[in-house]
Amino acid sequence: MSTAQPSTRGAWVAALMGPAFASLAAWFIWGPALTRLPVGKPAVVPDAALSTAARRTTVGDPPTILINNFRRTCTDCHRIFDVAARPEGDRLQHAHVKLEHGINDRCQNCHNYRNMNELVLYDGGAVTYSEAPRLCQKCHGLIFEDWERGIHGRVSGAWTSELGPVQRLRCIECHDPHQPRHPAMDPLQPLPGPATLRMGTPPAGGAHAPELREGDPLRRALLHPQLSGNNRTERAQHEKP
Amino acid sequence: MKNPDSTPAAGGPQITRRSVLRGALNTAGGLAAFAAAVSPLRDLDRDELTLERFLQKHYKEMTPDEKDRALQRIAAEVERRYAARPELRDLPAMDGVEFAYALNLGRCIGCRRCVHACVAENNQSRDPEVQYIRVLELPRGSVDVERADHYYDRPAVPDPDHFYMPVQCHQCANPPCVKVCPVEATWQEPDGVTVIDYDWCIGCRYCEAACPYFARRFNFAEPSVPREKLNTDMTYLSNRPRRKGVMEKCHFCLQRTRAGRMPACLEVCPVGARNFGNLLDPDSQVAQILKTKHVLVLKQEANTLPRFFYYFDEDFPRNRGSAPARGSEAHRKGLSLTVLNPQAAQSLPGRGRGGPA
Amino acid sequence: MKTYLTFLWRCFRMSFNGDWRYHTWMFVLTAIALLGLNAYCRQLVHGLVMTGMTDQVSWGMYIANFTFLVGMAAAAVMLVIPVYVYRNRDLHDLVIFGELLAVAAIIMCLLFVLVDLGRPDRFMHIFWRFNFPISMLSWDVIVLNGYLLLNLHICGYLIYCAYRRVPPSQYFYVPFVFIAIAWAISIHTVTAFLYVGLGGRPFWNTAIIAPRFLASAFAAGPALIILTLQIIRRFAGVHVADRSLLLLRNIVTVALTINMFLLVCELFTEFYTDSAHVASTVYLYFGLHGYAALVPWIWTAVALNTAALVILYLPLTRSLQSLNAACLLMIVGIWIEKGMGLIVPAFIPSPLGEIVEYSPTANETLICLGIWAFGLLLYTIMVRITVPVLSGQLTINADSGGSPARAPHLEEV
Repeated sequence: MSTAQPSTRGAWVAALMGPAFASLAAWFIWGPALTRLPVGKPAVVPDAALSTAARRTTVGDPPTILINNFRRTCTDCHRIFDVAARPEGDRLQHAHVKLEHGINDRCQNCHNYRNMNELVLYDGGAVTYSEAPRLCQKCHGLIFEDWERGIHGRVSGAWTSELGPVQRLRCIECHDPHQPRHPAMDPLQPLPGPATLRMGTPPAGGAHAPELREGDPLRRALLHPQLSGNNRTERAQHEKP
Repeated sequence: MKNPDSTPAAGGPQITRRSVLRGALNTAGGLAAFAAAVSPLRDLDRDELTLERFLQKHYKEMTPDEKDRALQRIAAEVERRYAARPELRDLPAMDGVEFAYALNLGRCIGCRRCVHACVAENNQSRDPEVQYIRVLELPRGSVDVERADHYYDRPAVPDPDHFYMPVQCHQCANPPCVKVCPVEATWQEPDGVTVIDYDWCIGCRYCEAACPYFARRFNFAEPSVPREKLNTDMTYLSNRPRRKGVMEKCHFCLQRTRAGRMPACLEVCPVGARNFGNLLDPDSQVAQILKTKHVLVLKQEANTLPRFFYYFDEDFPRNRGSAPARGSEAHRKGLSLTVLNPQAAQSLPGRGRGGPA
Repeated sequence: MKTYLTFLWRCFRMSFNGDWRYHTWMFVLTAIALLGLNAYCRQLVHGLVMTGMTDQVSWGMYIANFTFLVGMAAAAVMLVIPVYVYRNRDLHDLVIFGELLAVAAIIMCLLFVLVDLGRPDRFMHIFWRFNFPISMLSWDVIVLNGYLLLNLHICGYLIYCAYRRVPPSQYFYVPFVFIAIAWAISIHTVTAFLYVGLGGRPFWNTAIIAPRFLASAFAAGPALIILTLQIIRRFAGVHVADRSLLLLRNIVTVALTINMFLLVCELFTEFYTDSAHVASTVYLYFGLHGYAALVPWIWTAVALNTAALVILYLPLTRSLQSLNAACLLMIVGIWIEKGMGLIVPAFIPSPLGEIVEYSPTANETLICLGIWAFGLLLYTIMVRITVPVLSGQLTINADSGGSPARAPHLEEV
């Protein structure tokens, strides 16, 4: 390195340093923000979705219905319409009732045809509407047992009765007795991605391609039941002749 | 090669006013650049930088007096930010109580009500969204979380081909997160709940790396909770509003559970899949479940000894084709429920007619 | 005391003194460091949302650089051991440059940890309530700061003795040198344990990480020292024998070989077992479910390391140019391998199977560059002071540039 140059070069460096620092300062103050804060739109959650109230309102005991502004119980009509006489008759007033309760597909399995204000047990004994769980118990004994012990069904209030009232819902406060399966629900919105929205772009075909481990016998059986079924029938056909 | 020190005298004669001036200019430029570089600090939140806050002790070291003062200071701060006076208190653990949770995988329908009830109850940031509970949608036939979808957005749940597994803090009896914290900002309370002192956490995120359940959340940005949505029922160790740069996680709603109430996620569950209670009380929900159900824990191999249990009870046939529809084969054969009890059948007139037309 | 303060003052003056290349270099470093400082101030205000980190990938570039630099710091022992254990004369005068490198590296490490904290204002909490010995991070705080103090003491003492023209007393530094040797190994082991002890992260939860850390550190560290020594030889006029460089070359060769061997062991275990735990490794090397952000990086690292190993084993590295090339390749290779290749994939997939990729943001990168620039700035200043002191140009008597009388030297570029 020649020593003839340094002082001129040095002068240049020294002269440029001040302005360079100044422009750096300007950049810090007026320069663009280099990072966009990747914050997503917050989910919209209707307050009703978070209600802890029972999902169903139950009928009274005995159930009543307003007809021409008169409150009627079941027997008010069924005194006349004797269902016991025609148990398989058309459901005139109750056509809207859609019974989807497994193999339990007869009204009289639960309703007391001799006193329509009540429900009926196997032995013909009556159960009032307010005791509905006893009716359900006749088929769902294990679940009833769980419910009695507090491990089936929705509970709210205190986690121990020593510290406050424990509210336990009865069967029909969640389940529609005619369609006891929970109706499908609209799930609340998922997160927009990781909290800071920095998820990579998902590859075509989605990130969770289930076919990736098709070698898994369990998965194969679950995903393509017809495969294993076909194999069996084919084999059966081979064996026949 | 020139050694700069070997030519000290070279500069001697050149000391001029100009060079001194230039030196001063460069120094000034450097200082200006430095000042400009740190200028964003003007926007720092002054609330965060008070001496009081700086001197606040670790939760476990505070005397009752100091704790009261800290609670008042925090309450005042919350009031300033949210324009609502919070009911901030410190609830101690109860004697003879060990909280545990049990979740029925057979019933969960993946509706995410629990997720958002938790957000609302625990004053979690809405923007950016912080959620303690993650609901995993898993294909049937596997609990391999790698196949889970965290972001399913179907018009209706449950999907018959999937089952749903909500995951939140497992309140481990052998918690890896507590072990790794360098400043003891997180610890296990006597009632089994792992809590965080939000005023002690330094935000190193080591616990987040250690957690095998992805239960911990970091406040990457300043959390924001709409004023009208603030839950004013809060305690020091649970749902008081957090600030940016600290960890948070599920604490079994201590502000509720230590006052005897059920956690928010449980109360909102529409299908009653969630159960909570005192493990030490043999009559409690969870104790009953552990006794009578087939219970499993997630990632048992990690030996974290969770207090969060999953179980299945009787086969809950919500899968496709679960219920024989009317007109099915069984139906046609006249197989009906009442036949099971001939006595009842006889007692009903008209029973003898047999199957339906 | 006054002498010592004068010494510090002269050192301070000396650090502004140099030719135009020195000033340009220092200016560039200062400017980058200021850019980093500015980026960090923005991060302080807005939070770590300014980085590419997420709840899923909660550690990124900062911790990656931290891990790499711990290795750099530990590698100083590879100069110390030949000198103090095997009495190698060639390297004797060069040890100090390795130790200074360790000082600069540790300071960078501490800065990287600091910028990674969500609440740096609460840093002092480690003094009031320290989870020692349970938390590995508390161990790391102790060993890193201890190592910094040890090296500061050794370097400071030797330089100050040279400045005062008195022979250093053996009792004041040799015991510390030997402590520092063990300590250097401990800092990297503890840093490895930081990751190894996490049962929820199968990618890290393997005993081989600590030996791999040491092997890669003892390769990349001396490689950096080789490059540094040549720069010092060229620009600061310090005599560095080729023999010394070739000795370091042997160390690097062995360490890199062991590193590659351990890597093969690890990969075999992972891929042959082919259990669910292999997911992170698959993600790193081949991509998982179509996500493959790290794949090009890790194969670059493998290629660079392999190339470096080949060059080192060929006789042509007797020439310094190819040695330099090999060193450069392996430093970059190990930086990728220990940084992005070790820290990030452990988070992917997340414990709940979610795949969230990580890439640093501009702000985050600026902070990293700023810390590197600051570290280099420190190292340059330390070398700038050390060279004239050790060569006897700046002593208590013969003062050649630091005195207030010659203050305008500042401008004499």
